[in-house]
Amino acid sequence: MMHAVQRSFSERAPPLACCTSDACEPVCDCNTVIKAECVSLSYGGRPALQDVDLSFQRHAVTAIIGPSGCGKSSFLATLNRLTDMVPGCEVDGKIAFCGRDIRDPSLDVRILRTRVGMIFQRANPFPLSIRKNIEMPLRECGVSDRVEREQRVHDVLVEVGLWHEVRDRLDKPALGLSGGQQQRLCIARALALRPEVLLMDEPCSALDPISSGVVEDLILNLRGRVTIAIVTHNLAQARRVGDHLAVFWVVDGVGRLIESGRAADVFASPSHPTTAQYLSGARG
Amino acid sequence: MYRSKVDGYVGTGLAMVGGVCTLLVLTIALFLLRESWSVVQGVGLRRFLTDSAWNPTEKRFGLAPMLLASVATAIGAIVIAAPLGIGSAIYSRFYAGRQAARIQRAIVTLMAGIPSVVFGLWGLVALVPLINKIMPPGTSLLAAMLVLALMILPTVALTADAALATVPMPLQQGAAALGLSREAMIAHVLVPAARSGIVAGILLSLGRALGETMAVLMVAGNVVQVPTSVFEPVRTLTANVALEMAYAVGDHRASLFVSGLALTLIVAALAVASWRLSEARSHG
Repeated sequence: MMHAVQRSFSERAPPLACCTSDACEPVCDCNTVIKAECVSLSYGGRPALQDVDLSFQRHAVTAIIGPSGCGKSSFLATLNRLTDMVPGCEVDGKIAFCGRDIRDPSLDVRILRTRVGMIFQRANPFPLSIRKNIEMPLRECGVSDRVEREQRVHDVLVEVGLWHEVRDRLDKPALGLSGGQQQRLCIARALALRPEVLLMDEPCSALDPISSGVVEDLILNLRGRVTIAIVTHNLAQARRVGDHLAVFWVVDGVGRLIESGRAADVFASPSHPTTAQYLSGARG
Repeated sequence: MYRSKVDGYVGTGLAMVGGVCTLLVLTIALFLLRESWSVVQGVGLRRFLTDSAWNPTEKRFGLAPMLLASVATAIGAIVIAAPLGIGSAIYSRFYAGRQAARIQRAIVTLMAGIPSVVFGLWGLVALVPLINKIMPPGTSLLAAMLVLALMILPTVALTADAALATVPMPLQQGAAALGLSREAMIAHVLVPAARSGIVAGILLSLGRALGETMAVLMVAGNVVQVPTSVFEPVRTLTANVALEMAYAVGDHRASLFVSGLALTLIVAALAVASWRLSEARSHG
């Protein structure tokens, strides 16, 4: 019965596709872009995360906070199935992206990842030129028009505020950029694919305060256009950028979501005692 | 800085060991220079390249055909071995299952340990008759290239494998998170990231191919001539030294040392290039 319901649901949703032209439609217009239900995760049989129910609202910033080892980053990696790459990692539960089960075998995980982009703690530009870093993934996901690619390279570099810094050295190695510039290039690279969602795994924690501020401003700029899930250790940052807040904690040796809701509400009146202590600085 | 007595002894001991190694290399270089000096002074370096024939007892010192043969066999071998070795490394790292990769690595490592004279024997009884059927005499530049290619294949494969293994995981994750296919990830991200290590391995193998004596001597035919096709026999510099050293005297003997000196310089240049590439890699 459950199966039949799911099938009719996914039949209604058109197949997921890469955004290869200017005229590409958003994947959906529903309010909940990602819905995770009862998500559990284990590494080599050892549970790391249990029963997480969390939804991500369209074009809002959801900040995920909690101490180290509580499964925040692992949870983020389940949302674009990057956990597939980790040997021995098992994910359980249901994760829907715009109504599609992301673990449906008929879904192309590569297309999913172009629509659910990811930024890592350490900037990881490819050992290619600045231009190629953005252009190559575009070409690989099917943007065959050269002019279109050039245009997107320009647009995303403007968007992340790198254009005037790198316009004269687009064909120089990306590894020659500073740490903050590299991280913004990685964000540009992900944005060029026009994702619905951007998963950010502590994007500022390896940056100096000034670069960190630039990236944070960028996140605020993207709010309203891209759905963002950001894992952060920095409570002040979560307060500044987050529309919604999700607090993870280790309970009995396993990571759990102990509280979630509108950021202003959770900061003002946390309902879970651990959250209250964490937010006030008494714990964590 | 305080240094304990034991630390001092160990330091001195290791410095002596290091010094002996350096001194040995210098001694060999000086020895080569001293032994070849008489003929370099008496005949001049130029005639080693311009003399039309190799007949040192009749005062004709043309080493050029043998120098050419050495370079041609080595380059031919690397042209054959590089794609095979790099392909094998990519297969075992990214395509093979864990068990298959283990077996393949074990076999390649074993192959690296086969003595060169065994490769020569195999070439002589298996490869040479085969080439003879296509175009007599069989002992030829082609046979030398193929045997050498087999010999350096493990070096290329193992160094490429090691270089690919050092590509940081975040780079792979970054590529996967952009929806790149495995082929695109390998071609555009992983191989470029490992490139300097792979090239360093190729240069190292080229040095090994240039210096190889026994296997080449057994299959190359050892006729001093500039070959007009790969089916013609050639004599390499190393084979020349091995063949004539036993009875050479005077200028003849000294000119063999000249060829030894030339080989040493070429191989040293390759080693320096390889080393500088690895340095460049570890610095960024």
